[in-house]
Amino acid sequence: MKGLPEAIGARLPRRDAADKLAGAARYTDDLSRPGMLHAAILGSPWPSARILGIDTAAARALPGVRAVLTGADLPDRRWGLFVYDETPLAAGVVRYVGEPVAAVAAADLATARAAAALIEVDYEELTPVLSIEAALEDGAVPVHREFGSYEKRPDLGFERVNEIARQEFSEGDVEAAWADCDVIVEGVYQVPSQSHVYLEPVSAIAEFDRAGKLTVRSANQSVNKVQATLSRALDLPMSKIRVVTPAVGGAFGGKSGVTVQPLVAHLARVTGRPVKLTLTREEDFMAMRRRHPAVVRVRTGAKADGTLIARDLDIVYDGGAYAEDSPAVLGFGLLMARGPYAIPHCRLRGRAVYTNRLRAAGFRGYGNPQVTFATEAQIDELADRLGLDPVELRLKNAVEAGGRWIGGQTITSCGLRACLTEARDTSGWAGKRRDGGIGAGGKRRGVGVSAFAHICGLLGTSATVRLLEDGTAALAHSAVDLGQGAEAALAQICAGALDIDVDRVDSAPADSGAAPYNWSTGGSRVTYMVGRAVMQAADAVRQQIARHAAETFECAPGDIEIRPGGRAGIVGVPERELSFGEISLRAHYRTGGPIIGSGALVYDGEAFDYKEAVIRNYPFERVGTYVFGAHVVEVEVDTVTGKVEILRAWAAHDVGRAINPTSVEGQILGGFVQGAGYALLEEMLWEDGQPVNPSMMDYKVFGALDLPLDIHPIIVEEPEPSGPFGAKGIGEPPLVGAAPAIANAVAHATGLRLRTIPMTPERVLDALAAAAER
Amino acid sequence: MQLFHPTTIDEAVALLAAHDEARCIAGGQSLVAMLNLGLLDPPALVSLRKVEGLDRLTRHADGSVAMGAAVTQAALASTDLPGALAVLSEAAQQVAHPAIRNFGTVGGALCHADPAADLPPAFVAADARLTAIGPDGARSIRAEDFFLDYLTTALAEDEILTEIRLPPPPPGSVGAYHKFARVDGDYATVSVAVALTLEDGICRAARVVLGSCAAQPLRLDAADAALADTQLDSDAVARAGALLQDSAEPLADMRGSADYRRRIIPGLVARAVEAARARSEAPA
Amino acid sequence: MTAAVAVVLAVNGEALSPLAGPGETLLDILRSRAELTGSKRGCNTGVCGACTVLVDGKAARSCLMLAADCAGREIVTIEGLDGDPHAALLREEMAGAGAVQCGYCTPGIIVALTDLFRGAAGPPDAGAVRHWLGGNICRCTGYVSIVEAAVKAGRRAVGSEPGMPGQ
Repeated sequence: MKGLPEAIGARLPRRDAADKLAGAARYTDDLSRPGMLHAAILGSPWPSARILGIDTAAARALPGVRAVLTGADLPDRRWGLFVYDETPLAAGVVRYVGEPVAAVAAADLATARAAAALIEVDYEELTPVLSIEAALEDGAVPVHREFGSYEKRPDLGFERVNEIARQEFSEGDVEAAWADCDVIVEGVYQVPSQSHVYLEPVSAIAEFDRAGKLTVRSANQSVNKVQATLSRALDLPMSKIRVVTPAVGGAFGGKSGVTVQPLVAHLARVTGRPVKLTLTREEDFMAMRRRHPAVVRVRTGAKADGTLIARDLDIVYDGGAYAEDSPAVLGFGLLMARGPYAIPHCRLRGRAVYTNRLRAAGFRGYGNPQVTFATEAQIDELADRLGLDPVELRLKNAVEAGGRWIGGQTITSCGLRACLTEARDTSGWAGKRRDGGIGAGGKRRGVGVSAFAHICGLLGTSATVRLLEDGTAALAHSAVDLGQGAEAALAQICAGALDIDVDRVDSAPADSGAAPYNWSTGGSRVTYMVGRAVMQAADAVRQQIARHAAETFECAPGDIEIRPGGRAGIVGVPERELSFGEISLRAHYRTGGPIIGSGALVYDGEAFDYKEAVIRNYPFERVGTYVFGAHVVEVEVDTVTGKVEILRAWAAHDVGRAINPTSVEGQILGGFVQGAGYALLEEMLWEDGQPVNPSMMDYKVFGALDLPLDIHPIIVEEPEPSGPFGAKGIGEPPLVGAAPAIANAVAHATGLRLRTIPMTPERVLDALAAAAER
Repeated sequence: MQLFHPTTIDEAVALLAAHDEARCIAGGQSLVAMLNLGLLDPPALVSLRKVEGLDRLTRHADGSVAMGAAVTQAALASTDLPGALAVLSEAAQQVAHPAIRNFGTVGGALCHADPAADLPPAFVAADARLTAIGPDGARSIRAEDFFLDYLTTALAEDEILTEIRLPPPPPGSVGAYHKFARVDGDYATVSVAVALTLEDGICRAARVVLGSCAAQPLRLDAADAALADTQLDSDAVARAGALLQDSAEPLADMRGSADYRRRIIPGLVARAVEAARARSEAPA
Repeated sequence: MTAAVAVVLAVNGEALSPLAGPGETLLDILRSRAELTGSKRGCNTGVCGACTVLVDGKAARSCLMLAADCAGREIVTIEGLDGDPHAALLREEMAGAGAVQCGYCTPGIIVALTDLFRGAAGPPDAGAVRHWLGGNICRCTGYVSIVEAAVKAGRRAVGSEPGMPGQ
């Protein structure tokens, strides 16, 4: 790494780790405010019903109760990300089991919960829409009868009842291209609803001061999104709202929009007291968010030599009862549906629909895991039919830097080939591939591969860097740290840009009242986007430092160099230099004023080329720059029980530049394991609209004994020209590649293609039994 | 809800008799979870924590074992028991996780009578005798008569399980507990507890008990008889597995459908029997 | 509802007598009455392990212990492990290995592993660590870094004690 500052690529421990290890880190529910009340909610027992009346008398009569709110008590002010359909409490109609119908604030939690249980709601049950098919059938009941009257930003082209959005990305001439294909594979793939299961249930504390200013402390991924939505929900100017984020106990997309903040703010407003609401785990499962389940129909064709020619993909995402992120999840899934391959003829279409189940929303991967599970399975199906090695087939078609993504954007950096070859070579692919199906005691082994892409970019962000009087730096940005290490990575970028020790960079937690705007911690964008803003801010500081030094030494600013360790001096004259501290004192007390630099940008990469591609109803003109990865996974399938065990995995990711390799590896390992859960274990289930497994007893995630230690993160660095020190994002991609690589390994072990995940023991055994009968 | 801390069994029994719908609490590892979820709201809880002597585990010279109802699952898991009684420690080792086993008790797990739990089938396999004390004194109940239905035992409302006695395991007996679950520490999708008496490679007696396959641990005379006086050849084991499979009436839930559970029974029975037999061949 | 009663608890070496309602758990009391919020509530049903404390020297789910049933017991929470040599080594190794992400599971993991180290005759291997951590759910790390850090800490902690097998 020639020429890189010391802070870049350093395996530095996170600064938040010490408090977390001591139990001293404060999460929202750990906080208390003087006079604080505690809130509880009452959820709907029905997936679809009209609220005929709510009797709150008994609840109000309970000693200690300070307020009881129902939907009828709140102003009709809806919010959303694209479709403004959400309210803090059900307004007249309930649309999923668990939807908050009433809320209580009381002196203590036990009283609040007891009072909530005393609320009597009179419902008229309505016919629920419980599946994608039911949502789209002729004569389907609309989940939102008022849909036409909702505000939409922008209007995303729904055509049928219950469609939230309908989008398309197409290039070439798919229908004509099939004739050029020697082999065509076709299949329907089904992917489940996965729950985020961040370990910290959703929590918020709201309070108004006497001047009418609202402060909300909550677990979230964007103080700015929460601030903006609160402004709309409460009809308050943003200048009257401060949003603060204590430590966040995981989010993975599930805390990306507002959760319970508007409801808690309403309770604080009516009681005039600080109010805290922390959901129980069961409430969180039932009333928050989940990954979109989807049905994916795909057809892919290739030449006999393996050249990919055409793909036709149609996906329907179940968005649940409220639109939330669905239009963007759909669009992003379609943008990823060609895969990281140069397929000339593609028709990629999809819809997101309403159903009477929990709202679906962003979850690590954002529509990509659904699509990539299907398309990467299909690449292996093609390899099978063509008698080609799956890695070779992928390498043959892999995109490269300088090539085009679907939609026309130029790929500016691409480590895909390196990811594939590194994963292949370190895993001993060839030998394992030869030994497929071998095993003892009713077990069979197999190995599978996946290649995939994602983006980092999206929307606006900003940062400031101030030089403190002693020459250390104060960095401010609003990239909420969800545990992934955003704070550390950005501090390292700042330290790198100023070429100082990272201990000489302070950064404050996200606070809408103190730090500049950032759209969100999401979309794998923080290191890349906020990092770029930090680079700009630090660069402005460097220029001012250079000017002060030049004035002091009476030379041109161009003759000044910034030296490692916080010094500025004349090029070629080692003894002529000033420390940042000396320069900052000069700026603070003599001339120029304190040194402060700012950076701000909206993602500014190449836009889609609307002449080359058919792009319908996509909400953005440009999304981000592309990142790449490849996984190899070895599994063992137990033919007695159908259980799939992961034996070893190799996860190679092109991150442009690893700012903190330990943090990058942490993202790779954690993302892979969540993806393994998606592949094999996790599925939120409903029966007649009732959640079947909304608890950690019944909805399982993997524990330490369920996974091997042999999961090997492989970092590939193909620097991105626009990235800070070349860095790109890593948050989501590690989840995306897991399920298809595991499914391909299961296919290799058993000869069977499972097109539905999770590949539970029962599904695998069913497939084995069906094959035995054939 | 009131919480009482009696110091003697008689006092505890009197408290149970005096309070309708009162429940005993020992380690509380299932009961408190149910309280937290609002699934239970008993008017009174009688804690057995301060009752002396309930946490003793005694191995007698003749190989018989007596354990108080409040012996923890962790204590049982770490006790080396003779012959077929190893099925008990092996099952205890697979109950949930270490912190749960530290406080969860053997008696609590048996009285909770969850058909998906690990200890009930193991104690039926070991042919345990359960001592219950009520207002009219003590009585002994065979483990297989103890579990009546889902979360329902033969205990009267004012009776307390105080002790579990295990008869001396016959010479040459071996035991094993084989559990299949979605993830480590989950309730069993299907589990198999096995106690075999082997003599020169011949199985003289067998007790094979399934967990999670009925409203109570499932044991069949015919399945046990199918193994008796055989060399545990694969046909005999398959016969026993098929008989159990035919009689199983598993629940269907997110761990698996009833049909799935039924289908994996023979294979798991074979693995459990093999694990037990391997133990007889391994050097002691 | 029955009135709350004062329960005498020994928490981190100090005598406390917080009020406890009859259905309140040790976790409820620690977090809301004793200002010890290091023990986290992730599920409240004993599954996730984030609330793990030591009760009479053994790892326990504080969400599954009735506070009133803890009278007279010695409770040690994550906050009480500040001077503990095992915990110190675990903390050092976990910080260095990137084994702390969101941190919500971290206190329970430190407590559980401290219990393992105290009872271990020699440095626990990866298998023993995974076994002990089976009941501590981490949604961020995938466990690999935690297990590796714990094995390293164990080699330094357990092997170096007087009377223990050497390193």
